[in-house]
Amino acid sequence: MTETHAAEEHHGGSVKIYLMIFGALVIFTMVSFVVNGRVRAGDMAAESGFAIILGVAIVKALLVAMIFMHLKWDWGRLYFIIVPVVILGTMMIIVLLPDIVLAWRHAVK
Amino acid sequence: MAHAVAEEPQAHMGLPLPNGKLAMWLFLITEIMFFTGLIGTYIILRNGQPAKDWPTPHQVHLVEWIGAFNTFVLICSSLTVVLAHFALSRGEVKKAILYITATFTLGGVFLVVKAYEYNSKFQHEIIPGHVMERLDGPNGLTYLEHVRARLKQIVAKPENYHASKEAAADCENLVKDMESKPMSVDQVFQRVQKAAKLDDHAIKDHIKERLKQFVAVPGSGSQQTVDEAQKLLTDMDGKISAEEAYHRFEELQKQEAFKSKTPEPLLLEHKDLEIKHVIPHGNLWASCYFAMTGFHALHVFGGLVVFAIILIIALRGRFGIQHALMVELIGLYWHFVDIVWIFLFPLLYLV
Repeated sequence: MTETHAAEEHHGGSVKIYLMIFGALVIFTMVSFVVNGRVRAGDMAAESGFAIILGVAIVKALLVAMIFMHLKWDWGRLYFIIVPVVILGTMMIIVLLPDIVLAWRHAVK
Repeated sequence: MAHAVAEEPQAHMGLPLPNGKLAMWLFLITEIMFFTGLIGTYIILRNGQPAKDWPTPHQVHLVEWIGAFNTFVLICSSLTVVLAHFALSRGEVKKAILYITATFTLGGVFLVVKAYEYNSKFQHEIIPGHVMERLDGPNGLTYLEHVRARLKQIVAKPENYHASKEAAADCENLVKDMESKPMSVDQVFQRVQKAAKLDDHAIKDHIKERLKQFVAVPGSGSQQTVDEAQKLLTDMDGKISAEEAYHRFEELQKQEAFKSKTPEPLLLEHKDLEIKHVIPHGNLWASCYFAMTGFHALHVFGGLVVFAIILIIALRGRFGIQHALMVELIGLYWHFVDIVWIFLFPLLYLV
């Protein structure tokens, strides 16, 4: 038992890393809020605002998952259940696009 | 032989992972599918119509900074729960308990803010099935009937409605138009809005006049009533809207001493016309909103139950380093709940 666990690095991060990630999360939240304000005021195009806000959300989620949820260290042991589910989830949305989202755009033309 | 045996990994059952952790992750991936169902449906439905047909946050009384504040609260609680686990794994039990208490409190704050938001939706009747979406449905036809009837009354006796000259002329024109050519409910609605605006001055003038009369000769009015009337009179010189003035005047009307003929507001969105604000696809929005945030709030509540259990164990003095895995696992759940909100916030409040 000890041989296999000797290779394991210390599980988890340090307080410093947690606080840094926290700071990053807060800053990203403010960024998306500010970008939203600019889009509503008309200073920024809706598409670029949308892209930035969604991008920020994905980065925040990844930071929480990798560091707070320790996936950075546990990934090798868990990817095989997480990856299929993420693929399924994404595909579930994509397959509905043609019927509902793309259909009316064609019809309007 | 000896060196080969030393390097060969020992065969053992399962993953080098605590059972609880694997179980929690298996649960979390089912939760991923659950929320993907809800959020994915919202994305599809939202993009299934032109942007102009979807409610703006203002129309559905959604306040962005409250959502941002809630995001901040959950991010803080994620930090405190991970610090709790960190402290506990080092044997700093008291510190861990403090962090768990902080997480529990922050989760409570989130739910309180959510309750406040829900209350504002309920107050404005933004509930699935209660939102008036289009004027060309049954509500629209009822509205047209009301407008037609009221317009005829006004045109017959404009002085009864204290209509300004412009408003009365506008009403007459609208009646003529409604009877001579086909007008859509939308067009009628626009014209009515316009007429209502013109009449604000007339109503305020009438109310002021009546208040002045009362204050000069209170009759059997109590001092309190006189004071209220005087206050309203002073406010009316300021920036009070005709609607607010009318409502306060109505309140005064209820008092015996204040007998007067209530000025009927000219086509204001008054309760007897029962006009609610038109919100395109408002019912669909409300369904999506309450489904997504409601289930999320239930998940937050579930997490708070587990934190409460931990705190009860701590109160009994039985909390210790042996609970490190438990705290890690509830932390995993809590982070997941945070991630869901990280996606819900921009999708609902921002874009």
